[in-house]
Amino acid sequence: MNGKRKLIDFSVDFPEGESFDGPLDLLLFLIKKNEVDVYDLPVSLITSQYLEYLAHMEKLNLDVAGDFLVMAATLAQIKSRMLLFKEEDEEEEPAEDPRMALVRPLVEYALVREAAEALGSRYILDRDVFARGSSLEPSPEEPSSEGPLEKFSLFELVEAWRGLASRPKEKGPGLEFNLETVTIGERLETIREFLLARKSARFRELESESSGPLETALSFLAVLELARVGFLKLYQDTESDLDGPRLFLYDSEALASRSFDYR
Amino acid sequence: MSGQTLKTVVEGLIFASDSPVSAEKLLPAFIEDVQAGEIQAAILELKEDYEERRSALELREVAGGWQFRTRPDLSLHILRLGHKAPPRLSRAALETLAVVAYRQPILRAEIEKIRGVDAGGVLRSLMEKDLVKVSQRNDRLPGRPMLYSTTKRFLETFDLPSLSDLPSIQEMDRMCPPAPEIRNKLFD
Repeated sequence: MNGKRKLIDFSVDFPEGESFDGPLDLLLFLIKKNEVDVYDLPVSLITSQYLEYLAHMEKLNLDVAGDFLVMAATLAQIKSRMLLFKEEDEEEEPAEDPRMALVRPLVEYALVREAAEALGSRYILDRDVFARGSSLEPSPEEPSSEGPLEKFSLFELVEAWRGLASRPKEKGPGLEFNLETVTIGERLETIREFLLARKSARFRELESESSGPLETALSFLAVLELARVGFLKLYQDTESDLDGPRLFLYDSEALASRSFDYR
Repeated sequence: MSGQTLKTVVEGLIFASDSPVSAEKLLPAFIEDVQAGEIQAAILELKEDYEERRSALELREVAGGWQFRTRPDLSLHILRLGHKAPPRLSRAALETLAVVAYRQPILRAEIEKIRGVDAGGVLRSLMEKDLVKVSQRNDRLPGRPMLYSTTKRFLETFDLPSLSDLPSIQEMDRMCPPAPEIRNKLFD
């Protein structure tokens, strides 16, 4: 059988412009292309075609990823073990086919491919089927994450902070001592409750008239922290939000369930 | 219920809901003595009504609840009008999603072993799309690595009532019949 095979040119036309997602992807392609049985893999044929593809990649100046090289080594190892395996075959002790080391992951990956195709061919929401309101523009209350609004957030937040920080000065000269200390944890809790009830708010609304610079600073830090952990989004409408940025509740479930431990 | 039938009320309730609702979830809408079983029966009747009338809407069971969704054959028209881009799921994303869906909760390392390539970028994008989440940590392994699972949004997106309704992989049975131990390992 091997003799016959050598007469035929087994070079493979690799699909132009299409790259393989990984070594297993490439191997499955070769198995399909050659119409061979995955459980009786012609290791030598597959290995040479596999290496051919790596050479092909190099010709196209593509980086051959490490994963592909590891698989090339595995193939070579299996190929050499096959020689020993066939000799051992004569003896009584049945050794495991060295190809099984490759067959198992291949079959498993083929199953995954199958499952992925099955998933992709389902009626996908917003592609094949639509629920109420799901296909039209997102409502202004919930800006999309790619919106142009995020660019402004940090700068505008700092602006808002400046506005708030300068406000207490209006109270006039004089020393004020405030022994009541507020912690960032407390501010976080307050803001969280406020947002859970309101869904969105302006930074200004978080403060009462009486709150001093310390409290404002802590609010500012708390808002940044909440944004950092991803529970709220900051955004500003370019045209209408001259009042400063608005805070957005991003993930109410997470916000409601998560406890903050800041002291 | 003054002229209204239970079915009509249930229809309105499902229509007005933002996300799929179950019969149990609709119970608080009634001050009358109504059982979840009656609501469920009304839902099933409604579903049939919509089918019979060949309505543009279908009452679909997704993510443990019921939701009105448009008929798939209308998608081209809706997409033409819609401003929102339909979800783009690459093959890598679908494969990773499939591994997580069938094997959850699963470690990133296990996903990478099955697909033979790095999964970090794909996982991140799936998490951004709210299709995959970190569900827990494996306390028995050093460093307590994160375990990934699919979300409710995953069920909604793929029109699945629950995880046990994931499509079975029959095609593979035909292709490689003699490997039940591998199949079971993957899809038990």
